[in-house]
Amino acid sequence: MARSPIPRNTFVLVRIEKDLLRLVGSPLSVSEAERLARDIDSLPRDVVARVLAWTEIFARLHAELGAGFVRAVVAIAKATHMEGYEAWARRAAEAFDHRGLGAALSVVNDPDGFVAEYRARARGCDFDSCRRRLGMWLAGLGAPSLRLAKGPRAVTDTERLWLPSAFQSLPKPEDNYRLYQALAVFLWSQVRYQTWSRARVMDLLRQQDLDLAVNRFLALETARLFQALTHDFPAVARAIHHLAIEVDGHDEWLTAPERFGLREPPPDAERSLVVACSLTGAMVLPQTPCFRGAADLALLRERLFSVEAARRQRISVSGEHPSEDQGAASAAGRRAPRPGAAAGTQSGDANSTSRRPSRLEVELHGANRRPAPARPGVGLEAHTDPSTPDRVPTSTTGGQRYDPSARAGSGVSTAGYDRVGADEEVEFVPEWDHERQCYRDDYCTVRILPGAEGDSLFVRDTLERHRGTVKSIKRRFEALIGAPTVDRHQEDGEEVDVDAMVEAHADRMAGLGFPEHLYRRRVDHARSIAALFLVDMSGSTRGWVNQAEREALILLCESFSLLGDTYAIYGFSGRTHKRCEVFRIKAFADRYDDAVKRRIAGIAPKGYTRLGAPIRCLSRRLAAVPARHRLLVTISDGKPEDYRSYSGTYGIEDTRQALTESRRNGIHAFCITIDEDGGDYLPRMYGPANFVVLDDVMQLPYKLAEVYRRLTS
Amino acid sequence: MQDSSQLIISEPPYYRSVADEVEVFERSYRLGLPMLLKGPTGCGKTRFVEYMSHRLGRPLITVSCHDDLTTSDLVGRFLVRGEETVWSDGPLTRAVRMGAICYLDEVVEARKDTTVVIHPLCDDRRLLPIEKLGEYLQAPPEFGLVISYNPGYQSILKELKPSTRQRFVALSFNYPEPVLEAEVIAREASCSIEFAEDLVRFAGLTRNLKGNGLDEGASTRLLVHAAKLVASGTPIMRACQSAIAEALTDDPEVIAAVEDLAAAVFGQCAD
Repeated sequence: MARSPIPRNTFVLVRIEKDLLRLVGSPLSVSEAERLARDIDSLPRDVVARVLAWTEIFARLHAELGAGFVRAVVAIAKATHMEGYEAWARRAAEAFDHRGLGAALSVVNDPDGFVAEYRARARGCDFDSCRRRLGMWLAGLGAPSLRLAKGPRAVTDTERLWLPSAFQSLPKPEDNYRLYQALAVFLWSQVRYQTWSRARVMDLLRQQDLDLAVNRFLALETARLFQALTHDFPAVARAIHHLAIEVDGHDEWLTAPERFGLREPPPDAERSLVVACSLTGAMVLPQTPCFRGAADLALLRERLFSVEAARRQRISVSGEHPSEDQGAASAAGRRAPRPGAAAGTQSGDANSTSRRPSRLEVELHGANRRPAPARPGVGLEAHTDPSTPDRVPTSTTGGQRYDPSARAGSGVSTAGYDRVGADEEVEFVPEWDHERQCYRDDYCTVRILPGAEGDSLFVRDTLERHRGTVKSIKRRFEALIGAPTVDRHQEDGEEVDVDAMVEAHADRMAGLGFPEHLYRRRVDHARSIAALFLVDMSGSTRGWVNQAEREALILLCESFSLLGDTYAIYGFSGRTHKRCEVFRIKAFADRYDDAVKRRIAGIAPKGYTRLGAPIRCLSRRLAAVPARHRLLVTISDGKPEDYRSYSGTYGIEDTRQALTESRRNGIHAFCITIDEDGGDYLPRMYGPANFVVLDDVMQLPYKLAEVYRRLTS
Repeated sequence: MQDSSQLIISEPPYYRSVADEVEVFERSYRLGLPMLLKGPTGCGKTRFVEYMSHRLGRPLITVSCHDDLTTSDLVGRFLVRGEETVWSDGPLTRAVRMGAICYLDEVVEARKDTTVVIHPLCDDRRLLPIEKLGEYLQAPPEFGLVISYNPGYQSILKELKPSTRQRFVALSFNYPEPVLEAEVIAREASCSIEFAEDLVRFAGLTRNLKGNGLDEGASTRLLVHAAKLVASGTPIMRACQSAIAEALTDDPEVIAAVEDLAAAVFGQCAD
């Protein structure tokens, strides 16, 4: 962006020179300071102020750093059209923070390197800026649903897709984005058209010359996949072909089949492998096209083996509840995202993951538990529509606060909570036993404690990575801030309602009485919403899920300030009914400050998912908030499950009952989950329209805010 | 004031049934049961009501609900004409009197204290109380009440009360199967069936983005708009951009993603 330089002003020039000498000191001679002052003076005024501010920052860190900065900043500012010097300064500052003076000096003493990189980036496309668009494009093409991530090489493990951090080889950003598209869709097609299976990966690994075998296999697969794309997405195939000609200057990869003596590409990946591995003798393979990416067999093997392990767990017919160690592991395995659904249908294939009926799964983990017979007047029908509150026994106790003296000797376990910290609370809440059709009073011991604090850099990195999404969310939230409206036909108000007056006049002439509702009142639609976000911190959220949860909460909180809604964030985990833990990340009364941000960053996977107890405990808090509308949003990665018997129907029914109790208190409950089987049990717990299942956990940062916007608009 | 003959749909509206919705509607109508139509925007709910009105030979009166709608707007009010006051029936009252089908579109947009006026019409009483006239209007057998809305996942601030929704027989609508949807588009926009099929494919890709950048994918209505633009000479990608991408969202990244999907079907330089 061109800006006109400020007119020369001797006074300003002298002042700049004096400032430089004062700030930087001895590394600058008077004559050099004079020359640099003239250079800086030629910059726009707002830039001059920023340059001097940065000079002071660097000079405080080290005089040489200040001098190096001020010597190079003008050249960088001019070379980057006044846009890049801030990024350069930030990079130098971060280098100092993380790696010390030497690293920072390397940055400031290499302005040419930065300018070259900046120019390359300006014409290039980087992963962070196009990730969302690319992800949506792939999602639109359909299954499989792959998570996108940045990596040194373009590879896939059939669940995730790694792409390089930037492309700059083509002249324009849009051209470099097409390169991303081509790579992404080709790797996606490897999953969609089933290039990889556990057996094939193992067969490749057994080859004597592994590299040769892989290259031959991929050469044939490239042709086969291109043919499949041509059939299903002809325009996409044409675009890839065109790009390959543009970038590589050839399309000889199309000739792979004939080099192997085939008239056309193999019909499936198995055939590609057989042909690739059976060919003896030397042959010239076609050059690799720009869109093919690489293959990481170790990564594939690890992923495909874990999928197989999870599949075996699901069809286990032992009927016994897994032991503690197995439970958490099997829960993690069961919830491990599987490869794209479209890819999972090869018979006998290790990555075949056809859906299991949920009833079978529930029974397997319910220790042969049968549903209790319906009590008179309370049949199953009464339970099928969670939108209509069920009968809630009035004799429930619960919400008892912990009093060691009262509980001593009562037989109720305190589970080691005799020492309750100053900022902790302990409560006893009931649990619904669907077989007994009654509550187990004060059955669960819930400990409410502050969440652990994490690294504040996580917040900064999240905002940087998702800056586009934050802007989008804020824009959408702004639309929720209602403009004042006017209520008509009011008994009193600031203005006369002319329509009501006319109608009243007509009614009076017709012999009716003169009504009183003749005014209009301006109503400021301040939102009166209280929301509580309940975050699953069970062990199965380790990894991507945990990261997505934290990022989602950061993005949501950053945008909440626009709305003025009252909100709280709690995490939950635990093990058995004696140790239910609720972690206070942000209470209703807390401001969204650095401490809250650190607690969000500190959300970490822990134990199990006994959901009923935290819902009961926190619903009371939410019900006490003065607001017209109250919302409870649960972010979870799976169904309720805890060590020893809290699983299957029991866990689902207790959670459902807890949610029914909340609804009776005027709380609207909603669930966001990444459990692909969520559709099997969430309707029963939350109702048919009160949950959403995400295909990709990395959608969560955007989806959480979007769900909130939809629910409260 | 219009008489009932002016409100009868004389030309048969084009509608292709997807299941037994026509039979369910007819039976419910003959039993005097009101209907609730649920489905995403642009999937054919209004067209279905028009079709059924024509098929049953009844006039159709449509009310687009909004949060300023009052009971008087629905039932009627006194008007002053010269020195006299004259009662003017609202659309609901007119529909009852003439035995028409009254269609309240997007009923959740109306205030709840307004929609309760339909309750006596929706149960076995089939009565419309007109308080200002001191009259209770008995609905004739020919009268039918239809309401519609788009459930999605409902805002907690706008919900259909259980006491309202549980008075209705409900039909869920969705976009037709691809073959049928293509036929509808080709017929409505007078375009080739091949192009209509490509549009339906494109719509399918956008519907994969529901909940992932888009509130809803492209509706059949938007596809018809795009097809009409193309039939009138607009380049395909431009038509997809204006009639579909820009209509679906204001988010620039999502618009770009939807345009990428259009290119995935039609090619980048399609014209």
